[in-house]
Amino acid sequence: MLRRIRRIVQILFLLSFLFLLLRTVYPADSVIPVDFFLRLDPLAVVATMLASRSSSVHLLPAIALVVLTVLLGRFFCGWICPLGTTLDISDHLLFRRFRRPKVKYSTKLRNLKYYILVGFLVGAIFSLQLIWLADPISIVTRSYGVILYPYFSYVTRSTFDALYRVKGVNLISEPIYRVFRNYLLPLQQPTSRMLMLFFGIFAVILVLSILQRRFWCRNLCPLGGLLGLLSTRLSFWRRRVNSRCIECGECRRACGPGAIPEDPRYYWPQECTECMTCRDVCPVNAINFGLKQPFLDKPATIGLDLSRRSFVKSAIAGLAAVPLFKLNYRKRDISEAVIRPPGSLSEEEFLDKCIRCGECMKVCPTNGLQPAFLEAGVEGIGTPILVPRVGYCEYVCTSCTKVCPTNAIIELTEEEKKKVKIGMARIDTNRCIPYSEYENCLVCEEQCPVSTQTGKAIKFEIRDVVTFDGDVRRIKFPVVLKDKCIGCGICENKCPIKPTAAILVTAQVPRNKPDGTMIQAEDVSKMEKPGPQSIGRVEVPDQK
Amino acid sequence: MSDRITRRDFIKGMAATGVGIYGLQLAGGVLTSAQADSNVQLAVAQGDLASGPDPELIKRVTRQAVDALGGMSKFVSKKSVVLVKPNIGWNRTMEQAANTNPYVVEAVVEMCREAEAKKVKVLDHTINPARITYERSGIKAAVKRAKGAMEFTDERKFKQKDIPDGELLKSWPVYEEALDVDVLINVPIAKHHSLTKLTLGIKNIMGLIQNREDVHTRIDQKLADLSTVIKPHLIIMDAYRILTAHGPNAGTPKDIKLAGQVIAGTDPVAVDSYAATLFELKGEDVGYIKISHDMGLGEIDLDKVRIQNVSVA
Repeated sequence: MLRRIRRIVQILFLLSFLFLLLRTVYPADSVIPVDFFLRLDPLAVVATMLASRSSSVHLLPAIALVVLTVLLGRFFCGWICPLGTTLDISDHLLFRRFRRPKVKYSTKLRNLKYYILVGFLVGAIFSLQLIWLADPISIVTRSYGVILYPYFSYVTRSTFDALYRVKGVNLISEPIYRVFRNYLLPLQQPTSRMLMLFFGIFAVILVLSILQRRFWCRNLCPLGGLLGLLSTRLSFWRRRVNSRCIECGECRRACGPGAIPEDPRYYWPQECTECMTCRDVCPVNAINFGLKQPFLDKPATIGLDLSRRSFVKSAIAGLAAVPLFKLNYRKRDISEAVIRPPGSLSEEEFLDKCIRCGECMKVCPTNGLQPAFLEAGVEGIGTPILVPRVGYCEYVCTSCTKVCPTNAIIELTEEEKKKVKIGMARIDTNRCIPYSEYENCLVCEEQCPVSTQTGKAIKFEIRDVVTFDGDVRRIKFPVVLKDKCIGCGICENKCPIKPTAAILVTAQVPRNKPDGTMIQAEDVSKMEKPGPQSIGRVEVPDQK
Repeated sequence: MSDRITRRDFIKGMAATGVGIYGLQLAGGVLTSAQADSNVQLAVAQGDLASGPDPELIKRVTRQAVDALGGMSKFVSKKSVVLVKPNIGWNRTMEQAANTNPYVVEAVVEMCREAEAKKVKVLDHTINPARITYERSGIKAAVKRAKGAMEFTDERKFKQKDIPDGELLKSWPVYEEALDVDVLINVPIAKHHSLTKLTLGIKNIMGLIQNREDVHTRIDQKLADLSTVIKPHLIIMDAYRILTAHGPNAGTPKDIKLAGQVIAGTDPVAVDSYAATLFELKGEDVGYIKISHDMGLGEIDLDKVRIQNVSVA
């Protein structure tokens, strides 16, 4: 009975998680914050606060969860966590039947998650933010948003594409496809450069279920560890076993998180996810959950047996990892490809705060925000960068600034966004059509969205040129204006020169002025000359 | 600046005269098809500029331009499928005059429905993401009000189309519905364009092809080539708010001019040639109009075109 209710609750939370993810689209104006589950995650909040030494504004949901966990136990894992539910579903459908060598209950294995937690948090204190590798909400958000959703879209599209070619069948399939296309699918098939890495982490977590049910949650998940530590002492909610118990062990076998030891009258409260399955399966109805009665109850709980030595070891490991990552690249040589979303903090702060949840990548309407590989150093793997050839930064869009759960990207208004300089376009005149072929093109100038009183960020000058054949041609040569270009990348995106565009956007470095405010296009000094030296220039038009 | 005021005053004067001539008939906003000259090649409806860009007025102006050509039922027969192609390319609001005015589109869809079309589809192969431009341009809402069907283009429906008369383009991927549909209505906006000087009707068909960025070298010839195969049955040009500089997308308020006109016609060259005059240019000044004319796609000389002027208050 309770088991069924819990399943329904789990499914409802997973569905609302997916619904919010589906709502993570331009213009990101959902009333419920679409990153709600990430805001609920105290691990991400603590790690981000430690790494960045600042408090995040989105603290309230996480604090609420902490308070509830202290009072009621680790219910989040059994009832709410979308990754937990995903594991339950995948286990039910797939991995359960492959589970052969049952791993025995091992407190040693189980304690790993506490050590992992300590390791990551110690690293975070020294501003190494790697929680994205292990934070379940970050993992599940990007897995659904950046892997499974594009996957679903691809499969759906290909299926309906195949049906479309069959006459007769397509009369039925097309209206269905239209519904999918209008309400469920992205308009264009999104791609992700780091699909395999992100997918790898997700897949390993799922496949580990072969060893043990919810292997990840029991043994590895640092959020589970954190919530477990919170729920040991003050919890009002207790499992009680009365004298009817015949010690048959049904409850122990049914216990998902493995919180019941050999003697089933006891349990480990920090492992218990309050699923109350044991209550349901007990053949003699000996198990009850209820409020703790402080003076009457004999505690039937077993405490943690964490070793101080292991704690120290994991803290040292976390510490030792810091230089390994920090020394991996020199900040000065950061790649020109690290074009961060508008509103991004300075590079160091950004790396401290970004938890690679993938929300910004999911919301980006052009698919231009992609996970970095090594462009931003090893420390920056998986952080968002704009890849203009994939998609540009839409001029009026501020969506990514609204969905960042840790404020690595600060929310900007449309007017602010239109001024913040994230990069700079430069023309490769060796390959640009007007310069190298003496043909008009001007796609970059046409596309440039920068709308100021004095015109766009790309202008053109008109020159008469003489070809080898002796023809005189009047050609419009594009020129980028440094003090107007914001680096949105639409010029590179639409440039007809393939595969590498003849106009390339490089990252704005640094992103902040000495006073900490973001650099805007107009902060960049104007060019002395309007463009390259021209021979035989006939006119510089009033740029109509 | 002074020059603009003069022009505006001039047009106002024209409008006033028009109202005077047509008097009460037009004050009611109705011009029956019986009064329209069936041989008219071009209809130019001029709205009262003093009223500004009033939605209802824009719709009335659009309707009267089409009525002056003999009414929508002349083009749209009962049970036919209509494809309306406005310019919805840019992520801009209607005040920025980068996309077709939504009220023009609304009136067009309404007229098609009144002519008992089976289905009125509205679409554009946009430059900025379509989900955003459809919304922000106001056209999605307008089509909904008029009970038309707003559709996203479907990549599968671009088919390589032979262009036998093409000079530079011998074949190109074209949206097949634009070729197969019963009635294709081109609903462009008249605006400035850096490369081609102006974006008008012939240029608007770029929203029915793929790989548009590859059309930009020697664009005038390529547009004329495309026009030999993509032939709208009717062109209804929105010249209500026109963009006079920093086109096709980045105009500021000072670049926008209220011309208050809607131009309707079946001859793509004549419509564009007339619209060019709103920018103080002639058809011959705009490469693709000139080449289209030379290729026999329509009449560029406005003296040879019968223009029916209608004033609407």
